[in-house]
Amino acid sequence: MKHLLIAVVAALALAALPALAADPAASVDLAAIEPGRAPAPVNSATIPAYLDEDLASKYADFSRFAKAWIRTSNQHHVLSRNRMQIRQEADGTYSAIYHRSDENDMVCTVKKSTSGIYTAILRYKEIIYKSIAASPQACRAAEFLPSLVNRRIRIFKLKGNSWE
Amino acid sequence: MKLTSKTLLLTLAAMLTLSFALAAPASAKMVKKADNFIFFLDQSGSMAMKYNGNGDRKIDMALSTMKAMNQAIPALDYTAGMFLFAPFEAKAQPGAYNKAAMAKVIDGVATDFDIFNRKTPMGNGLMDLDPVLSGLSGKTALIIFTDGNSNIGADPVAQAKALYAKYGDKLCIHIVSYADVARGQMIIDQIRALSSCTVVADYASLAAAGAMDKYAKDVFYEEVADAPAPAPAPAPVAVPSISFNLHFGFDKYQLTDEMIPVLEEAKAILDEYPNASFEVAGHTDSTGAEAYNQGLSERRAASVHDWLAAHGIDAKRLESKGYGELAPKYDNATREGRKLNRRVDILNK
Repeated sequence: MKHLLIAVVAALALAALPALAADPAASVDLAAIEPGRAPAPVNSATIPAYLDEDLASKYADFSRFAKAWIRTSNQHHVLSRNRMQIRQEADGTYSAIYHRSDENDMVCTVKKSTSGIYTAILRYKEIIYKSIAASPQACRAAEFLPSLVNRRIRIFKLKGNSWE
Repeated sequence: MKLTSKTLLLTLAAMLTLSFALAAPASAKMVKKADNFIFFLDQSGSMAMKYNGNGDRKIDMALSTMKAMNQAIPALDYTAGMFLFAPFEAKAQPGAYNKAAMAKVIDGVATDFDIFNRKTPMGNGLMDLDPVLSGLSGKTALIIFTDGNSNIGADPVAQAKALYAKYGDKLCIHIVSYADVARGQMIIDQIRALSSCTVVADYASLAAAGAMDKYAKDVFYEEVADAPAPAPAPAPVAVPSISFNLHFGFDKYQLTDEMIPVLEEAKAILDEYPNASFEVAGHTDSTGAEAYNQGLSERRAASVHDWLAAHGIDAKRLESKGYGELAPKYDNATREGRKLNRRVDILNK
């Protein structure tokens, strides 16, 4: 009898699934063998973030966007490698610097705000590379080493299908 | 030429002098960045699957990475241990680090387990590790090798957050990612975002030439000059700069409802640094008159400043400033550069 009751409850729950898919706010009430131990209604609004496939899809989309954004940022920076700043030091040597961020060293997070708008945070490092040599030309050709690491955070929101 | 014994002696003396003059440069000393480290390997069913559906199994890739990492870690006096999760298992309780012993433990991990019915309770794994962490003194680096595909049990991000709340800066969680689905990588990044101490790595990045040695220096040790020096003052907490584009309307500076979620994110980040002071800096591109851009950037920075102050950030910690077009970070000669220049920065003062 107990097993029959479980089978009936399971069948009812399965039958309710299409309704749940159609209406994300719809809840499924599961009858319990012991009414006092009925589980809380479950719907897509209460699914924890780490199980949320929709959020994961937005995350994947943002991650692709973020890599491209870092590449664009590198390309258009006023002190990009192509626009490195070279100056003469007090001791007569020359130093050159440029800025670059690594698209493979970033952390992306996405969340849905209470207003339904998706926001995303890109955490990355902007590194200042430096070389020192006897002449400007030698500076350009010399080995550049990281001289400063700046931690950056850029916040975006999803509007339509675009992150801005 | 006849070599007299005097000539020979003089030559020998010269050679010895030269060898002392060309003595090895001042040596660098290796200093631990963490007192303890724990290898924490995901042995769930998804790790027994092939990476991206083809190629090697993720568990084999993880063990290969772990072996290489063990080789790169210097033989300093760490306390080290190795644990598995999904299910939780102790392979080596924390003890004096021995490279060869750790290599043997890694080699002894069974990898011929079934994929099915072997879910990934990553959050539970972190909970199970807590008693191990609480028995360690000093700083601990927890290196997790996982595909992040947590699908049952406690929320792994919440559990990681709880560990950071309990241990503060005595704990740093580093994750080597084998994620091949978005949800797994999302969970990994959510854990990484909890602390700026984390070092980002995945299987591919660590396989690059020199990468593992760099990773070992980033996580496990640093090289300091051998010469005695006074103890340096502790470095201040590195506060990141925050940037965003609120997409104000043309000639507008008032905030709209659409902008609030971004401002809420910014405020949440400022709340992580309760003792820091900030400058809210408005920037424009170079389109239009310089004086006009200056005024507009000041008004926009003030709008953001006022919102933050009205929503819990102490106004004494905030200052607003407009830079107009005069401090471009990007090239105004290009459309993309001008788009990037239109932004608000929040900088640590």
